[in-house]
Amino acid sequence: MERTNEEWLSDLKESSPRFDAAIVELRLVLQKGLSAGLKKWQGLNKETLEDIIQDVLVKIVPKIDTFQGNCRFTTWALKIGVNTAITELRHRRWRDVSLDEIIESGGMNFLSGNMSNPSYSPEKQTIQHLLMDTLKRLITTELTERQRKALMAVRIQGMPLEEVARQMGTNRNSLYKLLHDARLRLKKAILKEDLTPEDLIDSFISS
Amino acid sequence: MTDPFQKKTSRFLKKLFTFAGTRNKKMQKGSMDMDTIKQMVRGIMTTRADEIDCAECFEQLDQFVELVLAGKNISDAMPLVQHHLEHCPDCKEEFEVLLKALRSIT
Repeated sequence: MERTNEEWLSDLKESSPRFDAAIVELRLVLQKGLSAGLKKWQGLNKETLEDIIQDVLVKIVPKIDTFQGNCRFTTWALKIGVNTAITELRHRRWRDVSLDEIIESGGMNFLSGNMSNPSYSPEKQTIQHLLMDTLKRLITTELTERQRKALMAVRIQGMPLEEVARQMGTNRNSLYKLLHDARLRLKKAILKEDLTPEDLIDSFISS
Repeated sequence: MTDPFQKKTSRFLKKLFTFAGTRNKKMQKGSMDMDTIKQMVRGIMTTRADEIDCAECFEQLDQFVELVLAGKNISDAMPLVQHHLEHCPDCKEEFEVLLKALRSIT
């Protein structure tokens, strides 16, 4: 039978006689959950998974008192497990990729390719070109260099926020705030342009 | 017969996928496709002043994922977490893995 939250909390106290059994059970939950959740992720072999699970257990046990009981204990534990595992896998995947190099190679050319969809009407294609020119101009004039760099890396190059933050000497939370501010600035600037909401909806919002 | 909760969850996941984009898409140097542009414009135009950050999202993600699994209406229950997941590819990715992980143990 599955342990209740209260049983997990009391059994995972190091002084509990059921401590070892609870650790074994929690390890199994993490093993099963992380193996299934991360099945398609590259770089996750058995050894890496075991290392990650060990790290997660070391993280969870000392901060068990911070569990607020708003969900199942196993959900909370897996949330920490997933975050720890993905952070490690992202780092392994991106640690040798230079942010400056990928920004330099991409630059602002990202909006200049021919992206016309032949199935669109000439009028719709014209509006899309106008909007793309506007977007490119606003990204260049409205954003700071850091905002532009972060936006390019995350949105265009698909780099994880965590890794962009590391290379920019900040953390994921601050980077999200930087990007949020960039989106707010661009939204305000777009709304000031001579474009109707219908133009945007027709060309970009609706699929 | 399809479980209505599962159907609702699938619709929500589909929305997240089309909104925040897919991370593993290969980008060609110096160019991008229209879908990426669309996602970027959608992301800009749906920006709210009161967004929560990654730490606040992480704090509530366990409750959120349990509501999704229970087929509850997340837009009403936790709109700010849902909005954050629509705008943050890292948190969205963690949510998706957590959902799969929980499905495997229940």
